[in-house]
Amino acid sequence: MSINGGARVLVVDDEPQIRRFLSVSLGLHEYTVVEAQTGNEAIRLCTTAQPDLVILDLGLPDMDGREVLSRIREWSQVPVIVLSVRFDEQDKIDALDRGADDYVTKPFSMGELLARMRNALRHRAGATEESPLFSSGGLSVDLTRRVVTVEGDEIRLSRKEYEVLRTLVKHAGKVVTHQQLLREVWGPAHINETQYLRVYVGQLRQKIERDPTQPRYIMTEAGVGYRLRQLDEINDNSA
Amino acid sequence: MNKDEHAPATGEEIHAEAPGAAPPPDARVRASAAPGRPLAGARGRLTIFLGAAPGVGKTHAMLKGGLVKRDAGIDVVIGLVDSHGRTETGALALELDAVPLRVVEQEGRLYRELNVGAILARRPQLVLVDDLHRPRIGGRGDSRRYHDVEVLLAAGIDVFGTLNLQHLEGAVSQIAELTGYRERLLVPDRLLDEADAIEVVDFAPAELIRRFQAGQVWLAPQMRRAGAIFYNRPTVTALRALAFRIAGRRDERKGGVASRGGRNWVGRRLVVGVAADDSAEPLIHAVNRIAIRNNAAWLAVHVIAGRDRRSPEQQERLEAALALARELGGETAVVSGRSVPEELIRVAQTQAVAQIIVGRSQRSALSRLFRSVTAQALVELGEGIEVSVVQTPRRRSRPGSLAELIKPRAPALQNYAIATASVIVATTIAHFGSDSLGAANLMLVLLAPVLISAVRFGFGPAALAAAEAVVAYNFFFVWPRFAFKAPNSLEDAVTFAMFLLAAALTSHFAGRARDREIAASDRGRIAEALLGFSRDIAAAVRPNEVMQVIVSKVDEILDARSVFLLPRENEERLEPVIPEGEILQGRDSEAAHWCLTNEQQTGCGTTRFADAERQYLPIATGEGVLGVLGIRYNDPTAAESQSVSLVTDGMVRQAAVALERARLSERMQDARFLNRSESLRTALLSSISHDLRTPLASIIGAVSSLLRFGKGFDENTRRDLLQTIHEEADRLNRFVGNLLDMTKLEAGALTPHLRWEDLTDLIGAAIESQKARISGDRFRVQLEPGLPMLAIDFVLMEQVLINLFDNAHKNSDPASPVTIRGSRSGQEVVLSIHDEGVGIEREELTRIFEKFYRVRAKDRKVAGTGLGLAICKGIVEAHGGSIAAASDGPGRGSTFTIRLPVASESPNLVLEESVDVD
Repeated sequence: MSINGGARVLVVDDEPQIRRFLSVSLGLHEYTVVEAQTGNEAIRLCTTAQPDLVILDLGLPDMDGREVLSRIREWSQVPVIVLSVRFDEQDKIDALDRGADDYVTKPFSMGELLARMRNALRHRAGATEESPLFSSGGLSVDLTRRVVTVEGDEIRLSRKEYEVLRTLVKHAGKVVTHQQLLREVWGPAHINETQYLRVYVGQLRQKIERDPTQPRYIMTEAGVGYRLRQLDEINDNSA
Repeated sequence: MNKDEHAPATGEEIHAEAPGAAPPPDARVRASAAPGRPLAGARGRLTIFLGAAPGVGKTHAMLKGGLVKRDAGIDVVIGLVDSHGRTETGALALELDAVPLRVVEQEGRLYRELNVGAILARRPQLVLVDDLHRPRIGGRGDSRRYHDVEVLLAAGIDVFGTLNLQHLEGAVSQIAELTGYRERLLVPDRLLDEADAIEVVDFAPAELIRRFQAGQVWLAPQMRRAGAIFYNRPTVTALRALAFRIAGRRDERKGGVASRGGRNWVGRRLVVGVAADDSAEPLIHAVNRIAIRNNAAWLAVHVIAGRDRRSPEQQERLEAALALARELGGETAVVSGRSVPEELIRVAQTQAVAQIIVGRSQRSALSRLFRSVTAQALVELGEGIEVSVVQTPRRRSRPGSLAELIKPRAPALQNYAIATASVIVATTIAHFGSDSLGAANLMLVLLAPVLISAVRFGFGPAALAAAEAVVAYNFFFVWPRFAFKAPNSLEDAVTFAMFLLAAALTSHFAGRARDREIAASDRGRIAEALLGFSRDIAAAVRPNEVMQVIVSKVDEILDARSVFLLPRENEERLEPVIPEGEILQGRDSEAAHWCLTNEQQTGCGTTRFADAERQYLPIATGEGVLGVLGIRYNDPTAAESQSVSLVTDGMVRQAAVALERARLSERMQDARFLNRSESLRTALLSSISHDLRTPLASIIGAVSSLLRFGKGFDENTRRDLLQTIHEEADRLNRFVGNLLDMTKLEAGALTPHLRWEDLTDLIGAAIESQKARISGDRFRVQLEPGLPMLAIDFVLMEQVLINLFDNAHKNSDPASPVTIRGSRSGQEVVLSIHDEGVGIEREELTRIFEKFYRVRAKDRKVAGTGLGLAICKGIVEAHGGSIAAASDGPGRGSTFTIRLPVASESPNLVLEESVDVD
């Protein structure tokens, strides 16, 4: 975990209990924690404290968390992970559209949050995004050669299947919303036609998953989108 | 259902073109395009179920109506019914066939909409369609659901539709006045006019308000804010009246059939012929009672036949009667024509009336004759129309009715005068006939007034007449005439004695006969009065209504003004209840109290407190005095009348019984209601406190141990405790989630956001989310290949699966498999979740879906919230599906089966040709 050493995290939540357990747990993983209770404080600390990552609760006393996000995004590309509650799928999508990097549904486990944080930091570092070779468990995708293998066996994909997988790989570990996937693969005219996603993700799973009813790579984020799981996540899961 | 069974014409057509098995597609198309049954040109009938406010049970009433039709052998299908998660309505809907809904996309969301094409192809005889005002999703401009309905009607299919009052253009301003709420989604009033029948869905205001307060009324989002203004007693009552008025006005224009009340939806309509006399008001009261009993609407008609000879007094009576009719909820009309029966029949026919009622008062032989003539003529003229004659008591002061009982029958002075007058008449006749009549005949002529007086007035006036007759004979007819002669002979004495004897004998027998007759008619009147009293009192339900009826009937029958008093504060005080605000003064107050404490009559006409203004009668049963009735007779002599006291005795007895019955039933109802809400509250509280406290207790316990003794524990113990905290916190989280879901479901806030979803994806996501608790290895997924995509709300349906997995997990061995099967069956996708756990007792199979119902714990340690399955049911039904449990019995596992409708069309998909990447 030393790769995160020294990363400064701004935790924005009005609940002192949440802030306390986050700062203790994150401190243990060698993050430096800065706390904010309100949206205004968060915006101010973003400039003064220069955090490497923001954990933002959507329910704040003074302003909507999504508004905070928009304000931060006006001038900063700092990774933001949003904390949200169940059944607010639209809020999550909204936050993602406004530039959040990921979200975690309350209540969450520390392992889950840490995995998301690592992902977000990695993406911002710009390391994996450009990497032509992606691998996660038995799955590997060579973006330059356009070759997909599972457990060493090459898998033949249709053009759209491949495009879907490539988009997911590009954002590996992060949630990709339905609209984002549809826009990138089918074009902006089709962003509401989720049925395409159902068909192609289904076909993809048939080809790359051992058991499509219990997928290991392409995870469904109910009501939001899909997420391609990273290798280390899969290992984390068993721990 | 089997279409051919109900629609032979369509069936034959198809078979004629394609004998044998299923018709080829082209035949089907032709069959649906060609007029099936009913024939084209015959427009279908539209019946609108009109609700005064959301939540009155329109959909329920419509479904009930549909079921009645189905049971009558008519091919009924559901076009679109929205139960808003109300399980009772949902269950009714399941009893009928449904045409699969169309799935329409609008702005990325999927909606279910009436499938006109599929209905036309299916050709039912009757389709049920909810919420006619709704905008047609995906339709152009201001296109509404009733436009679709018009297509169905034009195709000859009957339609039952529902509509809420607030959407009617004609009602919107009145509703705004009542509530301040102005609906924007309006339908033109012509929709009502074009309907063939309007069913106003009746409801009890108190029950509706209770349901609203319990959050059981689904309101469209734009109405939620206005909800509290809608659901209070006066507003709801006014809305109800408005609905009836609007339906009534429309019926007047149109002459359709309307009914009130959801119970007996096949409407009846009565016409009552009202005369301009004092029989009108009692008749209208009587008809109102009949109408209420029969759930009928009614129309009071006065016919002006021929020349109008009404006096101003009669006109006044008529107007009062018609005003009363309107007040009681009837419609009124005044028509003119040649004859009363003809006009009544004409009105009845144009208004599709089933029954005509006329009154018959006991006033005079002449009017009786007229009435029976009218009734006779009605029977002869009106084919198929029922004619009833109602006996009406007379109004207020009714000479010859009970008022007569009050009158003392002592021979009045005028009787003597009449007797004298009749002697004078007889003498005059005899005088002019004296030349031709013999002496004997002259005597007989003079005997006549004696006999007549004896029969009419009894012995006294007859004796006077006899004396007068003898004197007159002596004066006028015994020679020398016109002079009094001394009673010189025995002759006069004998004549007078014989006259007297005749008078005595005649009057005696006539008097006895008359007394008997009077007694008989008195008894008849008393019996009739008591019968009327008991009839009216039986119709009253609540104690207050009973007292109201007692007072008004006593006043009416006895021509009195009475007051009903109730004991308060341990019988220390008597409070006048009806009419309110009455005050008892001095002697009256004492008399009333004495009556209450001693259970005996007091006041005027009795031996105690005879100087009081009123007579006080105890309303008592074996258990004690319920109240006191104080009667002030308009005719003070009535208080002493024997006959009157017979009537009051009877009424008081009946009143006591009725009042006690009303009180008991009210108390029982209260008890039942209390019981029900009490047990629900207890269940809720025990559930919440159990489900919140148990995990909290574990968490607090474990945490406090760790805080205090953390250092002393070894690594394993510490881990165990932490594990406990984690699991229990998880459980708490699930419970809170369930509570939230349930609240949303009940508030109607859980509207599914439909999208095209894949079942494999759904199951996978649900399993994934439970992996922390339930090992993935336990799940066996067996899905039939090629299952269609479903228009569902992914998040909600995932919750259903999660709850079912949770249920399976709790009730079975952690290593045993949980099998998920998916298959297609006709227009449904059937998804079943099977575990090999403890199973479910037969009698619990349906109850487990009830809120807060927990399977009897026995020795099992199962921590259920009693909510999970109720939520599943609510969500699945909100998707138009159903869920059921099955089990081979305890210890043999259980299976939950979800059935979800398959959309009639598949999603729009243009798939690429199979081209590989390279």
